[in-house]
Amino acid sequence: MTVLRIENLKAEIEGKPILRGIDLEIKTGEIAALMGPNGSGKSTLAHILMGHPRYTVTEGGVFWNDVNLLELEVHERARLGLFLAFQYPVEIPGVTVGKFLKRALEVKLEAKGEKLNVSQYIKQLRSDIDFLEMDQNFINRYLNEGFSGGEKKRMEILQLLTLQPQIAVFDETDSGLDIDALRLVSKGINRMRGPDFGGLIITHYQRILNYVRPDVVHIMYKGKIVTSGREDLVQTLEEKGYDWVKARYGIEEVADVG
Amino acid sequence: MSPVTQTRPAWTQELRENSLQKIQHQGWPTKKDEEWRRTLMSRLPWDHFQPAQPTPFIAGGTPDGDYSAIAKINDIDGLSFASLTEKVRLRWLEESDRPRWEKLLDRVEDRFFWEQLGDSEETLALDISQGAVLEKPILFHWNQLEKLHQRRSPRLQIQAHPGSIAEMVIKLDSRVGVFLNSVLNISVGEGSVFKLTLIQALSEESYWIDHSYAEQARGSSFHFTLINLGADTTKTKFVDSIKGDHAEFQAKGIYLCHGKQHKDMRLVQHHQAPESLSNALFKGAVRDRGRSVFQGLIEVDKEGHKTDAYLSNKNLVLNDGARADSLPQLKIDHNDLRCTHGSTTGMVDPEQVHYLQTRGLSDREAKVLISLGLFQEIIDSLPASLRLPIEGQVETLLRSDA
Ligand SMILES: Nc1ncnc2c1ncn2[C@@H]1O[C@H](COP(=O)(O)OP(=O)(O)O)[C@@H](O)[C@H]1O
Ligand SMILES: [Mg+2]
Repeated sequence: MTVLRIENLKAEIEGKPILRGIDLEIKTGEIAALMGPNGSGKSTLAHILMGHPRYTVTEGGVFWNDVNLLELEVHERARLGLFLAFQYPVEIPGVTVGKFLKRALEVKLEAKGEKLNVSQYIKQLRSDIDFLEMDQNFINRYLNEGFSGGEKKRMEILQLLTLQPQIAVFDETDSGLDIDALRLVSKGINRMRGPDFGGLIITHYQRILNYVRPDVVHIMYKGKIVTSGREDLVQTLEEKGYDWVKARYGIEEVADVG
Repeated sequence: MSPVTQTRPAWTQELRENSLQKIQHQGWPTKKDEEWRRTLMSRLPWDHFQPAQPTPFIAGGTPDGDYSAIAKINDIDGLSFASLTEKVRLRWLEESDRPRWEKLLDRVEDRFFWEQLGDSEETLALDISQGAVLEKPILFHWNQLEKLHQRRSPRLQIQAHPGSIAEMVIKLDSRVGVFLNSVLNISVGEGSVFKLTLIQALSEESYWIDHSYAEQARGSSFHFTLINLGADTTKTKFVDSIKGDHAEFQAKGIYLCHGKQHKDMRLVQHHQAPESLSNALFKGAVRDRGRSVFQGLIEVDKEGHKTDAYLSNKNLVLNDGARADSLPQLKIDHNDLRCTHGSTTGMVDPEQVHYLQTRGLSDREAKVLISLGLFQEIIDSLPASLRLPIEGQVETLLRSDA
């Protein structure tokens, strides 16, 4: 079992505090949801886990089992088995999907002292593309260049299926998707589900959680996890809205700061 | 099979003497020469290299599967030529070629060019017959195998006669340090389509000077691609003159500089006739202490109304200390046309690097892949048989340690 443990994590961007003491666990065998209003720091948390250089951790820590994750380079975290499905995937002109995925898989195997079986890779890739109901032509297209929002999100899921990480964070993978795309993306995440996979689904809405049902739900507000619960918390949030969260926890917050 | 005739007309000797004479009055280029402002003569150890003997001709065998004709020249075996078709001929210069060369000598003011013409009277001429349609490219492979410190002056006239359709690949290789001073004199006949790929992959103790001139007749289409990979220092000039209306010139370039490599490239798109089109796309990546200079010029004469010309130069600077100079220029005589140029020079986008790192690629690997991506569209436009090998060579160079 792998546990990603976030302890009292505080972080800032350009001197502005964003995360104000996050405690959270993501473990294999479990899907967690992280919900919260815009600007509460969900993407910040995702980027810090992955090691984006823009953010500065000021206190607390993140541990991958016993490994201090924050001391690792970005690519080392990826090779451990951490994955982030980006809210805004980056376009890489001139690099085809096929070549990129092959390279990514090669470095993953090289780290384990293994070699890529190219024909098996292509077979698997083609079948995953079919699984996500994408066009086989995607193999030859430049990574994310000219992709629609929905295509970019599906490409993130194709990468997930190809790289088979242990723990994945999905940053608003559902946003901007129509119902078909949402169904396919969810299908991809559900295929990963199992004792060797853990996920954190960051979302604003209940929608995706109807397809990928979370084992645990966390609600984040102004850089803190204000409450956690089971699936029914999603329902409460859907009924009462984020104003309920703000009303209920905003006050404590002010008291905190004051 | 020996299509190369050995007789040489007297005027070639004259041409040579006239060139040698010009040298008497002209020193080596200096910083005062506009085109030499960024390449110091001290980078070009001309005197450390000895003039080489002309290469003897030997008959060739059969060209291999990828090519319809192959000419090979190297310092051990000399010259060989083999062709599957009578439509491609290799010969020495003839009387009819004279004006083409005299005109060039009148026009070009450069010590290296005169040294080139003065070096020997041997000029090979390659003809693609009128109306010939070649399915596979012609290969011209020049190679220095083992003789050290030679100065060599390959000179080639290429004529794509009217109505022909052909591709040609010129490869310049060496296993040892060589000072190569080359000249191409190209004519693309009326209505013909000619695609030329020039690959420089000399050893990194080598030097390369090139003066190449092309002329296009009406309705012709000429594609030129420069793949500038090897050598210590290169200083090249490629001038395309569009002499007939409705002609099209497509130029592309890939160049890489690492270690202390220095590559200075001049490209001229010269429109001398109406309603012609030219389009240039040169891309480079520099790292370590490497330096590239791209001097592109779109020149449109009075006759060039309704010209449509475009010039683009993109450079990736992979580390501090490397440098890429981009100097696009327009010289235009009137308004009735569309000319645009653009150049970008910068580091690799850190967000792109980060994205690839989150997929397990190291910083170095990510930069290699992104840089290779910059060149992909040009690699994809190469003759099919070259795509994978060139991609491999480019990747190796992007990855190698200085
Ligand atoms: N590049 C940035 N520069 C400055 N502030 C930023 C930047 N990115 C995010 N922020 C701020 O950090 C806070 C949290 O943002 P984010 O983590 O994106 O929230 P969420 O994903 O929950 O919507 C917001 O107040 C936002 O304005
Ligand atoms: Mg966000």
